Amino acid sequence: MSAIPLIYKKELREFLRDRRVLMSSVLMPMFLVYILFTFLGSFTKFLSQESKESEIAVVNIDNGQPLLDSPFVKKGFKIRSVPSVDMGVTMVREKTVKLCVNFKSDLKKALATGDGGAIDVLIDKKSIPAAIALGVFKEAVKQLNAAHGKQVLASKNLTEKDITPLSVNEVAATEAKEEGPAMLASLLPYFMVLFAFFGGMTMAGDVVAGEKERGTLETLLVSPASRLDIAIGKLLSMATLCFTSSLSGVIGVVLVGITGVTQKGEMFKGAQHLGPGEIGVMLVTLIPLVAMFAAMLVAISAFAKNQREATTYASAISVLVMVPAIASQFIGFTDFGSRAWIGLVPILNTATVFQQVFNGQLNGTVFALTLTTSTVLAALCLWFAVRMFQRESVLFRV
Amino acid sequence: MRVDFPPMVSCQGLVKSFTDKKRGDVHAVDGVSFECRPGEIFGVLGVNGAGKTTLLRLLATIIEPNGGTATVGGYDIRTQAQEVRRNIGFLSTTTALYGRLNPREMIRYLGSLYGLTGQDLTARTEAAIAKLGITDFADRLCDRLSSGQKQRVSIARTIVHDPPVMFFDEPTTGLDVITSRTIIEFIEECRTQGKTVLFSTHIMSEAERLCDRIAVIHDGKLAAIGTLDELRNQTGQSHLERIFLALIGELTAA
Repeated sequence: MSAIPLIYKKELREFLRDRRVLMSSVLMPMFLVYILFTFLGSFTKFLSQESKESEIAVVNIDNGQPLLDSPFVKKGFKIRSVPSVDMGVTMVREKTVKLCVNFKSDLKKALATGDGGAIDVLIDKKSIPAAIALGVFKEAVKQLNAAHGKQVLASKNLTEKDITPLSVNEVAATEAKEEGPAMLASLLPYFMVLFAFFGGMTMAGDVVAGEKERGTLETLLVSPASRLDIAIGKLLSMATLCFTSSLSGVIGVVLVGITGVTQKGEMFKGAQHLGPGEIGVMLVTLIPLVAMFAAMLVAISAFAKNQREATTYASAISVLVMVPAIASQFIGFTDFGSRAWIGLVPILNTATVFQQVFNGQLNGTVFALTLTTSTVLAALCLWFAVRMFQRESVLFRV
Repeated sequence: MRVDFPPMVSCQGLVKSFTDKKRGDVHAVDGVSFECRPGEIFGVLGVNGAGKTTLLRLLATIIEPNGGTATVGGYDIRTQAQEVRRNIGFLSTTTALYGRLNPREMIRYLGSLYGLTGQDLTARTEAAIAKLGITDFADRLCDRLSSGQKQRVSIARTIVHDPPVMFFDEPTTGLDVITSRTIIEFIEECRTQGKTVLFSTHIMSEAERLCDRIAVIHDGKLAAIGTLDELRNQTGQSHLERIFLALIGELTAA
């Protein structure tokens, strides 16, 4: 009977009894994602409310009535009348208002005569909320101008077409689709890939190097279990840990959905297409990646003299893992995601496939190349890790 | 000493060399030959670095020899490594326990690796637990055991599959008197049970007390082999420590 299931079961039992594993590999990814997405949701809501409830100081309030009475301004701003520009500027500096608007001339007259309707807006140029409020205010002015323009044209028996004969029609060249869940598509693939590695890294020092230090590896080697069985048993347990850690991040997102966090509707908007098929594609893509990570970590651990050395090597390798994972963040801003070569770049390819699945735009070529590349690399890492177990000079390197 | 049984451990011209960055080519075991039989405690005596551990690791098939042949329990260490491993128990200086398993799980795990299953595995595990007096702490994690308790668990895991050949690699080094006594008594019991025991040590008093025959190993080479009386006659010394020094001195002078 093969010793693989015995070794696998024993390794898992040890993992489950290790607080580091429970905290770093199982619970931490879940809570990190939960807290991050909750924070992002709340922050989005805060920004949205901030722009909706902007308070502005108005000088010469009577002059601005046509604009201030418009529904757009009434909905977007709270108005505070101030007696002087200086007071308005002070309020802007103290951040009690977003903008100070000075209606230097009477807008009613200006609209009637078509002259002298300049409005001064005093703003803190370093403030982003102020910039957002300015955008909303400009839009209100634009709408008032447009409404006034229509009246003028009507009084002269003209229509908008008479003064704007040219127009641009947008025609969808592809099937109209709802946009994907931008926040999920941008962040979750990145986390899933990173957690797959870092979840396993927690035990990289322990799994073989730790056994060398404690002398238990010799006990294992002197048993009838073959080296291949030992290597594969350890690899499978490590792969399970990597896989669990990656899925733990996904559970964090599910928890965000279940527990009714603010803005979750916005967060999951466009994610309705995610069904069993899409989840299946993601799992199939994840399996060779975790196999590759597990084999890398076991090989490192087998090569190292002790746990500390193994952790040092694993930390160095983690940089190589992070670079393509971070690159996946920027792929969304380009059209590289659909290019075949992406499928050949390890780690980046998996994150890209995840993004495509979230956006409902899975590219078959990229998916096939990703699976092939990850599987070939996983097999190579596996072969290397098993080879480490066959070499006396490595196993007894203490 | 029983000489009527065929040898359970036999090696002829065993060689193990490796290259070390600092020391260059090292002959850790250099043409070692001996035999030992059931019911015999065969001592391997040498200073640190003499090649004792390498010799035991070769016989346990953990590492492969560069030359020579050996059989353990009638199985060739090169071609029947798995069968060799099935027939040996190996106890070294370290207790080699998994800290996050309890003694019962530890013993069961090792037993299952040796092919024990079902009721047989349970019965052997419980027998080993009872025999070594582990019952009171059988369900406590190994990390929380005292040194003496750990050593008892370590012995239990080496005997759960009831091997006919036992290898002890400096098993008492660094242990207190009481724990050492447990191991010494266990080694004597192995002899009583008719097991073949290979006992590597650098502690003269233990070798003098336990060993039926002693092989003195120095720089990987076999300096002498025989009963204590034979070694006395060969060196003209009465105490093992002086015998040992004389043998090493002879070898160095040669």
